[in-house]
Amino acid sequence: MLLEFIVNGRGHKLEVDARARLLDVLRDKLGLTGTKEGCGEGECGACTVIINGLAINSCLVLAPQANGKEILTVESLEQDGELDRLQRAFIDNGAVQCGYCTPGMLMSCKALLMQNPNPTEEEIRRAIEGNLCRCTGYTKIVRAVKEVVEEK
Amino acid sequence: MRDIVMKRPENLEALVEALSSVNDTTYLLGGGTDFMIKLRKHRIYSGTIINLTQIKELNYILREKDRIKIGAITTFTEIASHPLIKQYANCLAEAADKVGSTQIRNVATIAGNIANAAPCADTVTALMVLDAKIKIIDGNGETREKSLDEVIIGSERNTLEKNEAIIEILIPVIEKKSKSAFAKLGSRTAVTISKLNIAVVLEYDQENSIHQAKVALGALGPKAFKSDIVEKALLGKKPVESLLLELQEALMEQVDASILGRGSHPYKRDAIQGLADDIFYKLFASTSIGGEV
Amino acid sequence: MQQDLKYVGKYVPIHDVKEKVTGKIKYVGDMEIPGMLYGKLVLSSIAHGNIVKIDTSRAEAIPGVVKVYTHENTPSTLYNSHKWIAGLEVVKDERLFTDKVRFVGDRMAAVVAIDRDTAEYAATLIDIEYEELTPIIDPLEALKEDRVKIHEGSNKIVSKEIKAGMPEEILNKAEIIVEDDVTTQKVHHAAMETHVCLTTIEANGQLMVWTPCQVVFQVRLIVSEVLGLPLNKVRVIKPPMGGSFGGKGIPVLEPVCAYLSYDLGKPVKLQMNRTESIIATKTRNATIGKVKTAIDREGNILARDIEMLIDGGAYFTNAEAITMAMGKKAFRLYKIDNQRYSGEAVYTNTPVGGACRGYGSPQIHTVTEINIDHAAKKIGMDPVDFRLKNLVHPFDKDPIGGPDLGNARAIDCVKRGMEAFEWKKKYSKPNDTGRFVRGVGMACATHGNGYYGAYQDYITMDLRLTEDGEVILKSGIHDLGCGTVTTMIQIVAEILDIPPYKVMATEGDTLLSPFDSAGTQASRVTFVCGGAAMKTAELLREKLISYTARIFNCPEEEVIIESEKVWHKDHEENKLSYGEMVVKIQQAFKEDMHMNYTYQSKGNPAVYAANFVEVEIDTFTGLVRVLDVLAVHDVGKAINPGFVEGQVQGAIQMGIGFALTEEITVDDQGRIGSNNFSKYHVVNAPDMPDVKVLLIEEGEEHGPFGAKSVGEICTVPIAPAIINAIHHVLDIKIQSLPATSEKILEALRGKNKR
Repeated sequence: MLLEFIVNGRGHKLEVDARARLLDVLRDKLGLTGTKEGCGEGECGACTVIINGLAINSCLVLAPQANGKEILTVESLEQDGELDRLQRAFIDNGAVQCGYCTPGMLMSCKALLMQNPNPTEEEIRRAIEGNLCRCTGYTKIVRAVKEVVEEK
Repeated sequence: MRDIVMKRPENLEALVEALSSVNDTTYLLGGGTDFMIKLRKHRIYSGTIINLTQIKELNYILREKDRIKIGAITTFTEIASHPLIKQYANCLAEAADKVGSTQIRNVATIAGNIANAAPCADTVTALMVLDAKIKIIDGNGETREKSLDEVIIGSERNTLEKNEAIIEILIPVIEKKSKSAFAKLGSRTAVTISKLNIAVVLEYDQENSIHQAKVALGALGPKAFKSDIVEKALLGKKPVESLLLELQEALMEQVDASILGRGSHPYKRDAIQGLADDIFYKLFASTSIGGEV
Repeated sequence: MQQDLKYVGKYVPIHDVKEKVTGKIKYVGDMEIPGMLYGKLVLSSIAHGNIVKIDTSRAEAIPGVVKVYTHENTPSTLYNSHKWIAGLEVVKDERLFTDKVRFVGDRMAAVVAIDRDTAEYAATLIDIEYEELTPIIDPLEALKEDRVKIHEGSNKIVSKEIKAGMPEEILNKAEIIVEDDVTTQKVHHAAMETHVCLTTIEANGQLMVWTPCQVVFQVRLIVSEVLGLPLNKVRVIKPPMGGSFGGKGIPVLEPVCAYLSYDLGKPVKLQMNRTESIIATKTRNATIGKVKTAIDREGNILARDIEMLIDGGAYFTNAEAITMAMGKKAFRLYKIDNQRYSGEAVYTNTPVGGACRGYGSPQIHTVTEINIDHAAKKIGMDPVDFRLKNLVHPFDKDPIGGPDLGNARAIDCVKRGMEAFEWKKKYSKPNDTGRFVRGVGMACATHGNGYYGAYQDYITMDLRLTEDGEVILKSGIHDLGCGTVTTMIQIVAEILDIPPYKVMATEGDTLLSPFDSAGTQASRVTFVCGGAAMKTAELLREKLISYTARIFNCPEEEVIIESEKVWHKDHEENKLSYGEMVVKIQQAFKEDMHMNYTYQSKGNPAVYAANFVEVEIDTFTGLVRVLDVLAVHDVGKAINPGFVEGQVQGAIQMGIGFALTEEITVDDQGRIGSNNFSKYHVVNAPDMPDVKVLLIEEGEEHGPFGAKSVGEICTVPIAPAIINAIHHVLDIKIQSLPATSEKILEALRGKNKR
């Protein structure tokens, strides 16, 4: 069935299977493989993308549900070769190890900052409550987001 | 056979039409956070999905006369932060705020949570004490209102016919001095399935005594239920410190009545004291008692 | 050497960080090859039984299905994927697709199809008829010889004893004996990337294998054994990897995927979903531990007896190695002259044991460190003082003849930690009353640095200065996300005095990387591979100086080499860049400025750690919250302190899970309860404390710049530290991990009855 949506600022018209997940369409049809699958049940957040300004699990959304929506994936963060402040803070603070949770983490944090430019530590931790990381213990991730907030 | 089709009605009329031609393999889709898991776990490869989430007219929270109305596809994020819900149905706001993760709350819908009928569903417990009514539409375009108990009849069992869809949740506004709260217990602080949950609505009389108490418990049986035992324990009482002990004892008695002999009984019997403490604090620790729910 | 380090001892971001934050990096799951087919495994739904019939016809009839594989049309070659080097004797009991079911998750079949959806769909159409056998779930049942056999022969597969002195005699007449029984559970590694493999056959017959793995040469060995291919016809490449923690240490999918490709002559990708990764890869071995310690009134440990029963799961894999690895640790933390360790391992009809961060160490340390606290308590001593009295000292010997302990800074860890944590004040504080109670606990641990003393431990590296003055390091290393590549780069950069960004280091590729004997195992990488990088760079530097001296026609002592330049000490005005000198040397001597060196590990010193933790327990609900963690580590020298901190913080997250929430639950029929993250609870951000890390950097003789390991030990002491804190504050005994709220409340009920 037909899916019309905007991904990272570009309009797309695609023919998709009604059973396809948004995650698979982004990865397989649009080649946006930055978005990852870690559990397929909305528990790990590796597949987090932003839909109409809100962080969601793309593994739990049927692709046709995204019809008419605006989607941002991790690939949207770097603009004209310039990394997003959040990306730079992740680098500077050692918030990235294996990197597999990183795109989802970034998108959850990005969605948070889009809605709330001055979150507390508790709000940061709540924004990533649905994003699991096995490498970092979250400390450096939280620190990176705080750094972005403090620099504003 | 693999032939799933999705219908995407954009208004109620189109929904009714979609509902008029259903069969055993028709599925209603809200946010999809539970449906997607079922779709894969139960290996559903054929049938018709009716996607409700593009019916914009079903996304609202408003007050109409003496009722708060919530459109079926309203998400938990919207409910948790809405001023009307916070004012008139605080326990529902608190419950919605505790569902799943940020990402889940951004997508999952109130109607989906009801239809799914999980014994541990957080918002169902809250809706129960709010005496919420569920408005249903069928394939003939006819609507009717049902109570939660009429809709949910057991663990993952509802009475909705294949050609019926929940379109609205209605919550009566309590004008008297009242207060409501929700608390849950899982195996961690966030993103956790309730091992127990509780919702309470209290109304006070002129002397600040509890003259009406509604208490519902979730994850203590196949479906959330109102507890006579606990309600009776609160009736006529004043919110003083000693009431906590009475509340704890009543809740333990309810646990005994509900699941005595089950493996989880000893744990839940003890742990419900924590839930009692949490809800007691939420209900009574604020500076003034009363005000609206 | 220790002074004035330019690049070592500094935080440099992980080498591929930019690709990672932009989402451009390609993990194996992101890779595609034209014509690539998709595999999907079919796993058994019962725990124990014989296969009466597998009917694949319905699956084969689906358009898009290429072929279905079962035990009937695949090699019956037995192998043990734990084998990482030729010549290692192993028990071989596994095959590509099993002809007898031994656990829920055993590989029954695989479907290969033109797309993933078709493969998944067809996999649901394979009908298997079983003749069920009684499953053996409890390791104690497995010890009984009259029970049904899981493989041919006894279910008891390993029995080992290690002994120093005369522990029995002392224990028999000791006045004070402290005993503990503690069981530990199976856990899942929970790397965010699930297991995945991509294979293809090149036109020249070369089998290509891309796999996130820890030992490329092990994957090559197993694939070649199972497929009967020469080693040089199998090329294994380690691409970027989304975490491992030991979980991708033992090949699982690789021989299977390789066979599918080999048979079809086509590229095949095989990826697991989370449930498959939890049940059908490898797990941390569950254990049943018993410890008996004899002490005197002054707090000296006189003798100790430890018995561990190890649940090997349904296949042998590393049952023997882990039984030994576990036992050896017990002799290297405290000075105990009289001690016996006895370890037994059994088959059960449960998910298979394998390498998992710490490799037996979290299990045995949990048992013994809980016991140490009880011993201190028994004589009314502060557990920190008790430990300080008994911990090993620098340069102590191993009482069972293992490698020397080296610059063992266990005591420093405890002393520095207790001060920074304000232990005495917090430990002696009166108990809280009311619903929420807080308390502190601590524990210690030790670990090794590679295989020296047990197995072959060497690596060959190839380092080359290029004509433009940059550097290429070729070696069979594997970055699991910990920063291995950058660590090697920093070491080479320091020796060659060149900025790290000018050093390119490649990872494991069995065709192009020089050989490495053991891969990312046994906490060997920084110590052994880092040692190799340092030595190889030193030799290259010497070579550069030697040829430069010939170019300048002067003695080598007169050559200065600094900041990417070389010059004669009297001619500072005439500095040449590395690149210019490389070209001069090439022209003058037809000599390539490269160094190929095989470095043998020269020791296996111990590392030490002490964790201090404060917990808050909800006595109404039994929930435990970890409020504060201080992790003190004897690391010798941190090559990249940011990485060390990151390793420790992540490992604490894993250890808190081990202590409190994580468990692969198996019911009496062998069914897995916690088969996804909704039921298998790893610690998420709201429940995770900020972890403070304190490093003891006193240097280790054979480590690069004095560095030794940290990646495994850092997940070890936290679990017993948490349990000790719970014991201290509640006066209860937790005898099995994880300490769930249910178990805590049960223990509190027991206490109130007594």
